[in-house]
Amino acid sequence: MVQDRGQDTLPPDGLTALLERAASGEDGAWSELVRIYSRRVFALARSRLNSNEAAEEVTQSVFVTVARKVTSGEYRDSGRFEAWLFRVAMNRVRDEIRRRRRSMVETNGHDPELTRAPAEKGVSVEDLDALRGALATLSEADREIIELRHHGELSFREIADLTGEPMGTLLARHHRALRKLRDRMEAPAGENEMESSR
Amino acid sequence: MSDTPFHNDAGVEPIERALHSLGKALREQPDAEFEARIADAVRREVLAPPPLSFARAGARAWWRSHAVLAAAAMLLIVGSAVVLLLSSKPASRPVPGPIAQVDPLSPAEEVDELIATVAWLREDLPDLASLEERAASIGELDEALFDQAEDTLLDTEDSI
Repeated sequence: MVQDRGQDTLPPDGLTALLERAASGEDGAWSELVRIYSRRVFALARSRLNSNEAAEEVTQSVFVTVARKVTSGEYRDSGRFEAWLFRVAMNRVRDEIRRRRRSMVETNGHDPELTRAPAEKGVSVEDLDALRGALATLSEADREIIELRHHGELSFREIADLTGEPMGTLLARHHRALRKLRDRMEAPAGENEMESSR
Repeated sequence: MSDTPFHNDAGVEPIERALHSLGKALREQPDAEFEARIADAVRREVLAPPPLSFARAGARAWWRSHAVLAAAAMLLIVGSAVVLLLSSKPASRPVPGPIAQVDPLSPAEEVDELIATVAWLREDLPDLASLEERAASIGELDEALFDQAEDTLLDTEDSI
């Protein structure tokens, strides 16, 4: 497994204590929550909206919504903060997609903004382009699992909490989605286009 | 991520690596000020919202609502009409009715009525007999008598 959570290191007193401080309106606690989660939420939105500006607007909106609910007492921590946060994010992304459906830029293909980022060892810019094209051909449910897992960096347990699916079903679906991606990336370009246009 | 995939499918490992790379590229898209901008939005919108400006208060004010304004105007008109109606009606004045017709008195009856009225009026007056007697015994009015008569009359007036 090659995933890691990068910069989302929690403070020693843990997420529960951090959320308590955030609920009391402590500015520093919110800065910390933003530092831990905002780029992951951004990645989730960016994957779908294909625009840095739109993804940042969605991220901002998600954190404002979450802050309102946490400080007003509407959200009470029960150990599922991440699942809740990403559910808010997914809903917000879906709203944005619905709003922009007619004018939405095609997400398949080369993305110059995105491929400016240094590619991982052994992964070329062309691979990333092909992967984004293949992702766009997945069903909505499969794509959500892949994006939550690999862009949002949620654990399977957190995704199960978020989607309400049994863990076994979720794991099987994730694996099936990976195989579909592999098959579509290996298939000739024409076949993928035919598949996604169905 | 704290958990690991359940599968042992080497065939999908390159895909997972590519997804990891794509995720990392997506997370690294925003510039270094990104977190500060998000935190500022939270601070501005939730933690320390600015006081409601006059313009925003005006935009939400009740007088901007046509329905409320119309209802208030209607209330004002009806209220004014009720006040006018009530103020034009005397509180305890009897309702005027037809004037009762009284039979006219004969001249003799009128004289009797007058005498009875004078007698009734004189019941509460002081006894002026002594004054009348003294006035009769004096042939002419002198200054002292005039003063005395004046005092008596003033006393009488006060007593009435």
